[in-house]
Amino acid sequence: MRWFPRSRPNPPGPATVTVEPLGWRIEVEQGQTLLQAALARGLPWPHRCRVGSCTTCRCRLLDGEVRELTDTAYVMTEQQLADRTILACQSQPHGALRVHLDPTRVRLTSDAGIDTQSP
Amino acid sequence: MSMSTWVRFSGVHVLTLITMLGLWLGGGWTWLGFFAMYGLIIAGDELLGDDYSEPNYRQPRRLDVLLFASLPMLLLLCLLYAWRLGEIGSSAAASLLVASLATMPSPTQVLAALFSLLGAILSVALTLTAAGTNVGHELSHRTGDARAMTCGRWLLALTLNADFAIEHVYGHHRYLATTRDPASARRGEHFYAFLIRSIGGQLRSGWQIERGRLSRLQHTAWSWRNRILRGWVMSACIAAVFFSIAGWLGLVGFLLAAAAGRSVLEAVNYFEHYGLVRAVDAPIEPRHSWNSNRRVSNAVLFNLARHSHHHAEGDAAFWHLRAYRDAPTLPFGYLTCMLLVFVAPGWYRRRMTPLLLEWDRRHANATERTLAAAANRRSGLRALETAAQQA
Repeated sequence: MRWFPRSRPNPPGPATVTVEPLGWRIEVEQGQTLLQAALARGLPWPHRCRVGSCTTCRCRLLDGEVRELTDTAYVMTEQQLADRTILACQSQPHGALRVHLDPTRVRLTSDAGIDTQSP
Repeated sequence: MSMSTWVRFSGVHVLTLITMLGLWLGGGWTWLGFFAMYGLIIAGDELLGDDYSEPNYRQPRRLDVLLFASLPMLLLLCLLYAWRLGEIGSSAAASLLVASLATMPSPTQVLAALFSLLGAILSVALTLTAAGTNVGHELSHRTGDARAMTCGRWLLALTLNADFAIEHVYGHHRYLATTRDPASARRGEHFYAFLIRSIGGQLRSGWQIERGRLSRLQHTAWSWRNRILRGWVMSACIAAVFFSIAGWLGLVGFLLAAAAGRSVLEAVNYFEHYGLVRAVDAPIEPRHSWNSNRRVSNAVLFNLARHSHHHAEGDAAFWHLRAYRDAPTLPFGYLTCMLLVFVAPGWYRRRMTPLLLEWDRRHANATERTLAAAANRRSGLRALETAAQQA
């Protein structure tokens, strides 16, 4: 949100993302977010708003770098910002990644009762 | 990209040109944009019906040029509007002067100036919303693209609403169709009550979201980093240009057109989710928005009316939005709904009552049926209250 921004940067990717402890391997195409790639493969990645507001799709970055499409300080707690929590729906991987997705949250995704702790 | 695609999504620019023509001609012609916008879109929606096509565009990013073109088009429109305000101001001042010199007053000239002024305000307000707010909305969803965000926020600043880019994404898209969302209209809520609640609520919510971000980054809310304050500075710059061109009437004319434009946005907010309910933690589904596949509304508004898909997949650009035939559907096109919400809000609510009851039966899940029954009891509308008693 600069006053005189430069032109749109090329989106990063493609890349392979390893999801622990579930053992998923996700190929993310150029310009895709981690969530888009996971859903395209039919994986039950927890998600709801897809615009970076609800934090349902959050996971922890263990290894690697991502380009984040939103300023995640809008929705994360200070703790989450410090421990490299990212939003799958707003993250495009720069090269190979390793992330941690809480497996207890994955099973609950299809129901209305999902726990989405607010920051 | 076929020629017809370009023509289809150029509609809003044609309407902007028509508004400019009306401002240029002056007098009663200032109403041209207003009547063209309502007349052509409402007639087009009624005559041409629905469009369920879901084309797979090759290189759809080329269509971006039509989005970005809105900013220079509207800046030109604003210059023309400021010039017209100056003309109206000087002619009104001249007629008042003549009236005081010659003992006979000339109220017809003053009335003619007021008539022309009202036409200009309403035409510009509608154009600022269709070409400004709507395109600003599309662009401000591209949070990772600084160029789109900047252009989008300037488009929104034309209706004093650059902070929309924050509350809409981090508030409305998270809480839509729940009581926590100020921009979702409740069952039975009167439009003009919603207008006040929605504007106040979005302002409060947006400020809290921005203050939260700044505090987590160890900054105070009162700083140049505050994107809400910066949005207001952007609008103040536009206001200053109006003042420098046309003096006090220029400033007042800008503020009136911007406020009227903002109320147009709120009319759209009102009918996009009117009466729909959802548990705060439940997934966002197509049933949580009122959808429309009216051909002309979608062409002019870059598929905004395909609102069910927009909220279910908020990361989809306008050219990907699908029809969702089975989603709850608005009874009319966007401009028709808007007109009804403004001039016959009570009638519009009654028109929506059977559609809400059908939503409860056909679309709602068990939790939502409970929420809907509670909303019906609180609605103050007899037909909904009766349905709640029978449930």
